[in-house]
Amino acid sequence: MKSELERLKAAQAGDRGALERLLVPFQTPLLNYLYRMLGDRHQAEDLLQETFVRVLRSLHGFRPPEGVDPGGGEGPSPLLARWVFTIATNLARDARRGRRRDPQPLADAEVEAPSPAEGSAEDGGLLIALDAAIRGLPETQREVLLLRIHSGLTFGRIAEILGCPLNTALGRMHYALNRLRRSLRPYMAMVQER
Amino acid sequence: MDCSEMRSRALAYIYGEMPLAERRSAEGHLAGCESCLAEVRGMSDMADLVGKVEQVVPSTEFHRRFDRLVTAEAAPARTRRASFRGPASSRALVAIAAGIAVLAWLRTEWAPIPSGTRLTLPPSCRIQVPLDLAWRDGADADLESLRDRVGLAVNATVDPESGVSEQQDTEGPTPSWSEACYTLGAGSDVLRWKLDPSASPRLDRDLEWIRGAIESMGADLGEG
Repeated sequence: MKSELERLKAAQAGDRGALERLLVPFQTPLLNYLYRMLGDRHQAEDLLQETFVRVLRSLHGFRPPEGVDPGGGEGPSPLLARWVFTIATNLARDARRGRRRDPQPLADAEVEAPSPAEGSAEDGGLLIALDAAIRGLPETQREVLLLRIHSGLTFGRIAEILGCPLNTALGRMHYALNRLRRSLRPYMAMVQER
Repeated sequence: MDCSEMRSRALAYIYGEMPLAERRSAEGHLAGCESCLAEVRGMSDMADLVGKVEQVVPSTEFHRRFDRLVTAEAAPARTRRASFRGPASSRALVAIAAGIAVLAWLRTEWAPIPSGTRLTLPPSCRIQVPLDLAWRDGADADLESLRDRVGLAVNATVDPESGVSEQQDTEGPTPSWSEACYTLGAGSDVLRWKLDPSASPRLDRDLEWIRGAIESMGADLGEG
């Protein structure tokens, strides 16, 4: 079984199978991150594509950061995670800046309502409320929260992606979780009563 | 560990990013402090809940495009890298023209292409669609449009699987300057860069640049 480093080298040499095994695990986490940062499924997929274009364009020159456990599981490669999520974060920020400069009509910018998750009705309701509450977070708090959920990176790495001190990233996460607790308190109580 | 320290380090505790010695100290504090325990539990419950947020999955269309992108990237090196096959003298010409393309790109005003400008291309050459272009929706249609609007040779074809365009051996009419420019430019970093959709997201704008580069190259070389 190939190690993560061997897989990365094979991908850099143009091995199609290695490229797929390296990039496919990033698809869903990146899409969810971009989707909840932008609130627009189609734009999120466009930026997901652009993220992969940029990754592939620079992959041959990529050198994995030192001190990172290469892992070896089926999830996104820890070797690439910080780099890939940095690209996605910058693209999402650019897109949001562009949107502020050139506001879209409401119908285009409208946030899609997620379909209820599988499971009981009350859990579905809670998850829908959670999704809405996450999108209602201030952008800086949402960035940290979503990076933590979807990238699997430590807060130290997340702070590097966002270009802020570790304590700032931790503070934003703290505020984000407390804000979600306040927003979801009625739903949580309802679920617990049943 | 006191209450203030516990609360400032609660996230590191919840997410398992706390060194072992500090973790033991935190657990010792939580065992004797109901207030901090309630705070950490509340935050931990919320952290668990946000981890269950519903996942959206990439669309079928996305998977199709992803396959095409990876196929193009993983194509054999000679197809991806060698954008030009021909005699040494022709390759030298390509190098000169590519340099001119860089200069052309730096220009802000384009001179008109002299009427009837022609350049003889080697009998066999290859072009590659830039990654960004191959990735787009309807890349084939985009190429058709490029051919129509900048006069690219009609015998260029696109491999629908890889998105890689290969110009077949040229026969018949001598390729035009337009063809030469696109042939060179499409395989070069210059055009690839200019076709970056984030910098130039619209095909019309790309075409405008290509047309300008062609005209400028024609004027600079004075071929006719």
